[in-house]
Amino acid sequence: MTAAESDFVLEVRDLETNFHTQDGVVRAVRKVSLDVERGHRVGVVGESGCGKSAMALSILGLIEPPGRVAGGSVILNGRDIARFSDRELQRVRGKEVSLVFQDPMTALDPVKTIGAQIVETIVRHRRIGKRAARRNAVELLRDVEVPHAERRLDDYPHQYSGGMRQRVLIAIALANEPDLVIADEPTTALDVTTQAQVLDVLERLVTERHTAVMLITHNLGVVAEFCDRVFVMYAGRVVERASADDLFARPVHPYSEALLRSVPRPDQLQRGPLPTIPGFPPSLAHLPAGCPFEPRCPVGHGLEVCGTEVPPPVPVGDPADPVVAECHFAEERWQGVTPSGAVSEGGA
Amino acid sequence: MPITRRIAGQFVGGLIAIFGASLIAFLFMRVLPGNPARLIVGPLASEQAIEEQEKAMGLGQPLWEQYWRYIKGIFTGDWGFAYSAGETVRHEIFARLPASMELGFYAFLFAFLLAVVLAVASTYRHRPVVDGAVRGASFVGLGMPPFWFGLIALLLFSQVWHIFPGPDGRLGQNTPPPPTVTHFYTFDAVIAGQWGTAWDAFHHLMLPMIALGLAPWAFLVRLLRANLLDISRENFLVVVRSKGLGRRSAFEKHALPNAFLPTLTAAGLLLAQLLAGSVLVERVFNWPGIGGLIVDSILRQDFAVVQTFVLLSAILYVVVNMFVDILYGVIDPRVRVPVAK
Repeated sequence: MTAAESDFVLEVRDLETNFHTQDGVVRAVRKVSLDVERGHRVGVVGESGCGKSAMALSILGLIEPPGRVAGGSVILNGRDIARFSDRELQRVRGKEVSLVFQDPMTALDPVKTIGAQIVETIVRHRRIGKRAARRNAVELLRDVEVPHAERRLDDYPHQYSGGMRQRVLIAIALANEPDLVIADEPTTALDVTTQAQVLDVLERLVTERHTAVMLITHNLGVVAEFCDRVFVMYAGRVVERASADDLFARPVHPYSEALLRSVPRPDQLQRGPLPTIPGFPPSLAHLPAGCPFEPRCPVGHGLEVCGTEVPPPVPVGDPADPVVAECHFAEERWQGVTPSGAVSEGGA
Repeated sequence: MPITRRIAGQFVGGLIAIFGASLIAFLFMRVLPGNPARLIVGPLASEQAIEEQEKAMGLGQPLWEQYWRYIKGIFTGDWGFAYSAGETVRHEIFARLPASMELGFYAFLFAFLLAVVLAVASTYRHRPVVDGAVRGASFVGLGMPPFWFGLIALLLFSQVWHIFPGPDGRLGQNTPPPPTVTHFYTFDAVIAGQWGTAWDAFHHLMLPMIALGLAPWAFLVRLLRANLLDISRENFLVVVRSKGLGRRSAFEKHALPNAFLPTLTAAGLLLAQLLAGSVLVERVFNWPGIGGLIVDSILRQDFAVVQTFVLLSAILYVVVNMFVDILYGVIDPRVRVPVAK
């Protein structure tokens, strides 16, 4: 590894993305910073509409008007690709960083064969003949465990099931052995059994290839199984960053805790409704003055400091690998002194 | 559904449509007031002459017998006599067909090419001004009667500004027609190397072409624009871009083919617009095509011509739509290839 090449495949600094709509400026991504270590897997979790997908597309430079990346840097393999022109980005997308899209039913061109859509990304980035690219595509389909790969290469997307299409999307994303795969809700549209199979395939392949993964999801179970680090997003901000172990054992931000509580857990067979987070996330066009979670927060709701001051990122715990939470009570909660904390509870 | 069954179903449907059209054309001409025989022999003719004329036209026979003669004639090539022209209907139609076909061909080309260019221009990037202009123009195009547009265009571009020739048919008075090869004057003139004639023919074509192509253009551009907008929001375009393809290749290789497919189905409707529009546009521009013939024949209750025209149009319409549907099945894999077991 050269000096210029850090341990991080991706470093996002103060990324800002706005959508200019008739209701005003929707601030979908608000100065988000996060890093992905080479070969590691991070999870980005949060409710729908918290800016996860907008962040993913911002990293890839694929935000379309009325959206616009307003600031920040995206350092991929040591270069700030946020400053790249689209032409320069075209050489990066699909080669160094690729995307596994969320909805397999609509993510493939319905009038092109599966094979053509895999070959397309291969020939885009490599000097390779049509024949060789096709052989390569067959191998990729085998890798993602599509049965009868050779025969099914010339099928069309409508002939594939949802799970099989998601495998194709994984094959496309991994075709050029990128350093980072951004998987945006890769399993959300699938039924539970298929989800597990598709995740297994993804896990096996990125382990073999030492590919770093940014897994965007609202499924905490998937995160627990798959990721070493977690970024919790709320209202366009990363409100907590922690190792997966820390997050599941001692969630610091009240939002993280609430998210964990609303996951059904088979080991706790109490009857009654699943805990939910009351209220709705704030409109990203009209953010509250203080902490964006204050109106829904069991800890800080009604407190003056929470209602008026945006909490700064507070590092707690091990200084070498701190948990960082944007909460006025981060330190107290880490110590376990706030009354409503479930911090003493065991991890997942 | 297997493709053979689809085709068979369409064939039967087409036959029913043609039968319906023939019946309507036949009955409509019969219930119109007025006596065609009297119109033919003239106001000074004797009652006896009128009776003889009626007999010659078969007007005294029962309706079903007249209808039978009409249908049989269509298939045996005996399309009747065009009294207003003094020729057989067949001769009249074939003599005028090339002029109509050439005009229709150029009108279609104009409508299609301009629609593609403008639909792409208004959707390829976010361009509110271009988009607004295209949408406004397409509204005008849909709302304006083609013959009226033709009259205004003639008034402005021919009478006032002298940019285009007046309504004197396919060629200027001093230009002889080129030697016949394809019956299209523009093509024939080019083949014969008569560039002046080719230009004259095209110059004469331009205004009627625009008048006739305006409504199909407006229809197509709206359809294509809506399709492109829908497609441009499709997720697969994001995926295509995430592979490293440029905006333009994503548009050309993925958005356009998807947007074109539904447009194909509209081709049949376009044909109907061209047929209907041609009747009056040809009249306005004195175009020696079938449209002018039809107007005359309706005014003079020249049964045979109108009946034949309606039936031929219906057949053409059905055949084109059937062809389009089959083509659609060949091009769109979702129709062509069944879902795997």
